[in-house]
Amino acid sequence: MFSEEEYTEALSQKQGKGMQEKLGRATVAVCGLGGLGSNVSLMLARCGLGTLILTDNNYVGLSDISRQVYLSGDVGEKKTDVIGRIIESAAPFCKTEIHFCDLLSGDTAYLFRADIIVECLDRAESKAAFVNKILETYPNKFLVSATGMGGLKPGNDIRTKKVTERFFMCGDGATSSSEGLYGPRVMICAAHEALKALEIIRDEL
Amino acid sequence: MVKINGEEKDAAGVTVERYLKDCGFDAARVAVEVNGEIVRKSDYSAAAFKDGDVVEIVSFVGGG
Repeated sequence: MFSEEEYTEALSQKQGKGMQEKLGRATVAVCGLGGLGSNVSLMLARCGLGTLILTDNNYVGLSDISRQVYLSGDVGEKKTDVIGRIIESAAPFCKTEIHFCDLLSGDTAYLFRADIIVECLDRAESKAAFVNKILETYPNKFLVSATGMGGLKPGNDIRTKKVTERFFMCGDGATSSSEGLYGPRVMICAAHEALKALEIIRDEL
Repeated sequence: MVKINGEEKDAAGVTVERYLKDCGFDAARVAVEVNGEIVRKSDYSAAAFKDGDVVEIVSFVGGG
């Protein structure tokens, strides 16, 4: 294996020493570990993010493996358990703080530790309730949310918009999962969320 | 005039609740910010837009 120094040096060659240091100091909370969240968290971990706070209260289902990072052997397991293992293997020096709990009804005081909160929930009402809750409770934190990634529609329609100085929305804003959910399109939206988190880390932290 | 999602609207004096209803938004699927601050859902019926307000209404669809 390799040391943390060797790992950081290697990633710095692709991402720059300054940015690598900022990444190492940052904490991102990924709320929901489905099509969006499992991909966002793995992408950020692979960039060498210092700390990930991961929350979900669900188990890997068979249809999940079409677009989430879980593998066929993971079906039936807690998403939090599996993502913890995957991230440990992909990014051995990323610190993970795992919460198997409900983001709407449960205690989410631990989100205080995050620099950036990434909303990765599924149902429209849950997304709205969670975003409202975060904007009320943590108005000074950066919030990246996403909606509209359904159907086999152009990837070019997935955008990132600034809503306010600290609140960003990714997605096409309109296409729901009732039109189907395809891995590549969901992953484009997840990549938008992850990229916005990187930009915030570069520019604001 | 009130700027709502980037467009100037003649909505001064209209409550958030009324505006959402008139425009067909589902109040359970939106977040509303006025001048950069979130409007609590419990305030939707009382909070009215003022001339010069900058409003962002984000509406959510399922999937993620």
